[in-house]
Amino acid sequence: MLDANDREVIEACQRGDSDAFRVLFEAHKDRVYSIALRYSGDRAAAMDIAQDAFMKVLASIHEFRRDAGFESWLYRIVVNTCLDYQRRGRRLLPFLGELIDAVKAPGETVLHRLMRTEVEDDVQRIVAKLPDEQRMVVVLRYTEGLSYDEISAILGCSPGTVASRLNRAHKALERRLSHLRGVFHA
Amino acid sequence: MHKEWFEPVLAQHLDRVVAPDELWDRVQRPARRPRGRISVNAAAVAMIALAIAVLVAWVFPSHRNMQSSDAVQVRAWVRANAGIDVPFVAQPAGVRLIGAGFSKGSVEIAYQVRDRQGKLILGGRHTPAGGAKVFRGSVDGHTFTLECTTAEDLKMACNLCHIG
Repeated sequence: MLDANDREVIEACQRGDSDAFRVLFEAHKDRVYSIALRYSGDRAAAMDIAQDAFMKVLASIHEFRRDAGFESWLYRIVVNTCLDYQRRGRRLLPFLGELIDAVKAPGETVLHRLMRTEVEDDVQRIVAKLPDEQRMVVVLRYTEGLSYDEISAILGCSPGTVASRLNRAHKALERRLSHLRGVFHA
Repeated sequence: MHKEWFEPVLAQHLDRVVAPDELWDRVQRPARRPRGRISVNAAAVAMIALAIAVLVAWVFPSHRNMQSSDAVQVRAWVRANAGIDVPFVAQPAGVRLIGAGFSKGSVEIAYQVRDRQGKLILGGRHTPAGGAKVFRGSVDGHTFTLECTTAEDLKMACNLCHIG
């Protein structure tokens, strides 16, 4: 449910208040962009998806029912935008920009940064190979930390289906990430 | 609950990131994105889909519409619902946006000049009201019609997308 502040902001957005939309954007931009990035594995694609998702939010905010959960509503828009993007056949590929970010990150040696980037690229590439439905469950679970019930509400399927998709994804990921086992299994 | 060894790996490497600052600019001022080459088949399918959509919209007029005087919001609605990006000026001089909606297969954007209403119609075959002043044009392959009560209003309506 919405707290009083959220409700005020959303009501202001529904009245067409641009400043309120900026507040809403700032509150949720990292969430939206992260899901887009983790799902697509590509920074340019993530920007396109996040942009489209916020445009949809802006265009349909007046349809949002105030007694409903805003975050669930937002998640559904982001998920559908990701799936639409995939359906339109845009290329979803791992990106090289992570390497640049890693080199810029403070407090780490260059070797650590490169290793971290390599592992992250690896994980991202392997996740990107999962079927769409499994990939979305993985992103909502590990990027957003959502429960099975929350994921099932967003995707419109049963918690059992979520568990089944995650289980299949886990099996595939365990096999494909096995080369990292020694690194992380302390 | 038992956790597999790779779950912390996923949690660590799929964690949330900070959105780039330019995302707000992209949302506020959506730019045209570079598109790949479209095959003849894809173009044919798109034309058929468009024809069906127009036919369905004509036979079953949609009640989808929105009301807003905010240029960004109207632009976003049109873009999301019709796939057309109309570069409205944020605060057009002398013109006030009222909202947008579908009518007989076209997108109609309503606005007000002084105390009189006008329409910007995107696509479709629009028959203007008797005595109305109209301007027809085409931008990026999209036909549009500006309709107003007077010629002065029509001139003012150009401010929707043009400064000065």
